[in-house]
Amino acid sequence: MSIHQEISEKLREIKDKSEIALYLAYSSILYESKSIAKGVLKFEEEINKLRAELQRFIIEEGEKLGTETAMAVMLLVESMERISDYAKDLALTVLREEETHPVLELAEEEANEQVLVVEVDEDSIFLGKRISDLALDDRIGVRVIAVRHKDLWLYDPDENVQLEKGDLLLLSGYKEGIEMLEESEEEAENVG
Amino acid sequence: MRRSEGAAQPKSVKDSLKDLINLSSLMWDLAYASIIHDNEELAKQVLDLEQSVNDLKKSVIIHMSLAVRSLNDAEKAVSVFKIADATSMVAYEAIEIAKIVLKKIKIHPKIKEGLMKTDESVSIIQVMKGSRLEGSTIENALITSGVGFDIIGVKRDGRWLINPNDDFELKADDMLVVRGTMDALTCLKSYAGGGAVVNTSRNK
Repeated sequence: MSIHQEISEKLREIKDKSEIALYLAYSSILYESKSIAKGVLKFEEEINKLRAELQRFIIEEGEKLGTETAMAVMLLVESMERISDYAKDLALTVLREEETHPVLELAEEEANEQVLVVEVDEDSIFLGKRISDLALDDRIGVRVIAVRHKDLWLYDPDENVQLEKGDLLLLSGYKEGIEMLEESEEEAENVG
Repeated sequence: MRRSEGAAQPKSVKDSLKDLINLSSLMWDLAYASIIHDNEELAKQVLDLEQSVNDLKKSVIIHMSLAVRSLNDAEKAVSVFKIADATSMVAYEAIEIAKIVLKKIKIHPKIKEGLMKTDESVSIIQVMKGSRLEGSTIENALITSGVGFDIIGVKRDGRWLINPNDDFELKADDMLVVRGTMDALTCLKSYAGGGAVVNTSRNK
């Protein structure tokens, strides 16, 4: 892999992770969910690590990169890292059990794109399924944003991940699709 | 339709906060696009939106402050202030990124190339006079083009409208910020009669 490819891959990973951290942070507040908030902290830690790696790399290979590219990449990484810091601040308010204002719940209700957090338990329709089996995106336009699988947060998870009891799914999609899922989860629970 | 500018009309905390979140993610997309395409015009649009961020943040703070009647209210209001604060900080980071482009700090093309690879993109499309999009509502554009896309922002007469509704009517010279698959964007470009000012990838 060329040095440029390596840098753009790292940079993209940091960008993706800082965006998901922010997204998770908003969700953690809307759902007053500590497990999502903890997910944010994990992402923030990873981003810090990635940033340090990338910075070391740039310093070592700076001559090959050229000053301007090195400078721009540094500035980009700094911005992305600060975004994950803001996400962390938000998540910490949830972990410290600060109360949220009712207006925040309302904000979620009206947004076109909704987020659903599903904990996979014994009665869940997701239990034992692979993400590819669900075909949520094709059927009802719902995407799996992240999964906490075996206590690890996976962003944009592999299709082959098999869901287990205790896993946490973060789904996002249009209101209708999300509502459909909510209903089928409820039904499954009532039967179980 | 909600306006991102023009504090003249009062709006609820809820609307302002939602607009602020949408606006900051729009700015983030635009800023990233300006880097990938080394496009100063796009970068300028990001800076242009700073005033809207400030207005919306102010609107959230004012409305929230007016709603506080007790210590309990105040404690709950803190969560709203924090979100408004974090969200506007994200918008300011987008501005910092756009400034990299405006300072003409060049990034190696191979790195930009690597940042671009994804299936979904954000594009800026201008509605040309006499094109099929002129006078059409967003809903109609969706129906007649038969492709899926999301218009996340429109610039008209120097003003930004964030997340216009489906019944929003497009006019000539409107600048649309559109998200969709490459195929959908290519199709929409031909309908707009102009062609994209710029295109960028975005992770899903």
